[in-house]
Amino acid sequence: MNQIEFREVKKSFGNTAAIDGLNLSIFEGEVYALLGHNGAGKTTALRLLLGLLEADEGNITVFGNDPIKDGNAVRSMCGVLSEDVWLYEPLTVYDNLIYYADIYGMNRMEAGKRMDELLSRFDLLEKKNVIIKGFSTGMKKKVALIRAMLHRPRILLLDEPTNGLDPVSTADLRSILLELAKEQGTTIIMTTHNLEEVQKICDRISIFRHGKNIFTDSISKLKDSSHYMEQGKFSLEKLYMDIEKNGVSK
Amino acid sequence: MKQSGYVFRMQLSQFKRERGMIIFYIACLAVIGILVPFFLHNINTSLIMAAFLTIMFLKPMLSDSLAGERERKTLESLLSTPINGKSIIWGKAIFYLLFAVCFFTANILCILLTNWLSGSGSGLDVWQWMSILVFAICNFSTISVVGVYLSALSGDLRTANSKVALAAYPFGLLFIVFLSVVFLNDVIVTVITGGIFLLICFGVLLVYGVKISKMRQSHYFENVKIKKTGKANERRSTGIVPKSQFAIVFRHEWKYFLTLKMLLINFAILCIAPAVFACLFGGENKLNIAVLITALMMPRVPANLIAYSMAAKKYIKQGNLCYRHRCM
Repeated sequence: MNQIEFREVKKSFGNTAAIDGLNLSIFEGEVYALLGHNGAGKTTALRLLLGLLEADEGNITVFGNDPIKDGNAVRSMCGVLSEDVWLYEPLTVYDNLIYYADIYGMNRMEAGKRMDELLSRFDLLEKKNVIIKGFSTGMKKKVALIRAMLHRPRILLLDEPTNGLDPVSTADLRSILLELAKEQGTTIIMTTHNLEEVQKICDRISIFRHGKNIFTDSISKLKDSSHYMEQGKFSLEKLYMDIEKNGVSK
Repeated sequence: MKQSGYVFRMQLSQFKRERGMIIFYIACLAVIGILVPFFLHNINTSLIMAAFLTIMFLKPMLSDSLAGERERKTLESLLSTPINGKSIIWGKAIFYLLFAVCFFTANILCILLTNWLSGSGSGLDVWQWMSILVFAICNFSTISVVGVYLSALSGDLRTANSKVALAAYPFGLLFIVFLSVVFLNDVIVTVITGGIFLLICFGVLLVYGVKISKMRQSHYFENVKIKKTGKANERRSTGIVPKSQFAIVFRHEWKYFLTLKMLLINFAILCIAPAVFACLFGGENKLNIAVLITALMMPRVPANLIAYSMAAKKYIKQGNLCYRHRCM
């Protein structure tokens, strides 16, 4: 029950199979990375999880809920951050955040407190009443991240979370994500091409290829093994390149 | 209903930020509601122009309602929340209905006041004013609900514009026909015509109401057709090799224009509809109105195309590509 599970899931768009028999299990509190080439099916998998797409075959359960039948229950557990920030640019940071707080059913006082807490954490408190248009990519990303975390979601879905963030903000984000996972038990699923970041914060990884999960393992196990070493240290990049070239792991 | 309220509030916040457009609406109100009745002393023309202008303003707003959100990528973020797919449509439709009713009512009030101040009286009886207002609410409800629904199922703004136009203009013409009937000053004819037209509106509302009530998050993605350029385009692209960068851009725009079949059909309907209306209902005065409406509507199609040319490209990030290849 306390896991997200994809069992033999298939999803096609016309003649193109975006997801082709995907099997995946993610446990509560895990920081999980979905890796793979462009068009491997990572974003489609996230959309299936959120119930934004309906699977052609197979089963998906999110902590015991069906994303289509219990769509609202699943989506209320999730906070989503996309690569494109998806903000209402003519509106202020406050307008953007309060809209989502209302939808998630937070009361105004609680939402205001949480908003201020997150805005000050990301150094954006003084920009609370400023219009988003004109913000840098990094600042927009921070606002989108605050929006995703506003309602203390049980699951956080992050699509390229560190894209456009400066090194300090990236480090901040890393510590926040680790805190969320370890202290509050938030399940974090991220799709990224930043393998260094994955190695630093993720518990487990899956590598997708043409809609299939071709490799799953935990980072700690991989670090303990003697394979894929570079200058005496485990290199995820080496593993990833090897799988991309050969299709299967050693 | 609560969730629709959040969407409504968000729409209102966005609307309030567009100060330029608000000033433009007020200027139009001044022209149609004060200047036209003051100089023409003809309440019929003023009302028909007010009705048409309301629909002309409503149409691009409806097209942008969800197709615009899809292009700006805020739709997916909204759908990733526990909001119901149908609440988004209802919230937006109610906002646009209120906008249309407020704009049209403000026009009616201004026309009334101008007529009264210029000593021509109110021009119409109370029952006529009331029937116009009731029909306006039903007509704008239908256009708003159908428009937002069609926009939700459109892959991009251009497709939405064409689809919404096919719904908005026929209902707009229906409204003008009803206004002409009201001006005949015959209660029985007005009641019968109004009854038939209301039945049409309620029928369409019912059909789309059922469709909207079945809307789920996945329908926003799975029922959407993204326009593909197709084989006809590939055939057209062969032939003369353009030598200048201007020709490359021109040919590209022309090819894209030819793929917009719905827009071309709309354009044809726009050209002939007022004339057909004038022929059907006769009279020199009606022909003048038809010419006036055509003149008002004509700039819409090229204006839309100009607005799309670079603004849309910025959204879909083709503009950058074009700069990179030094096409501009």
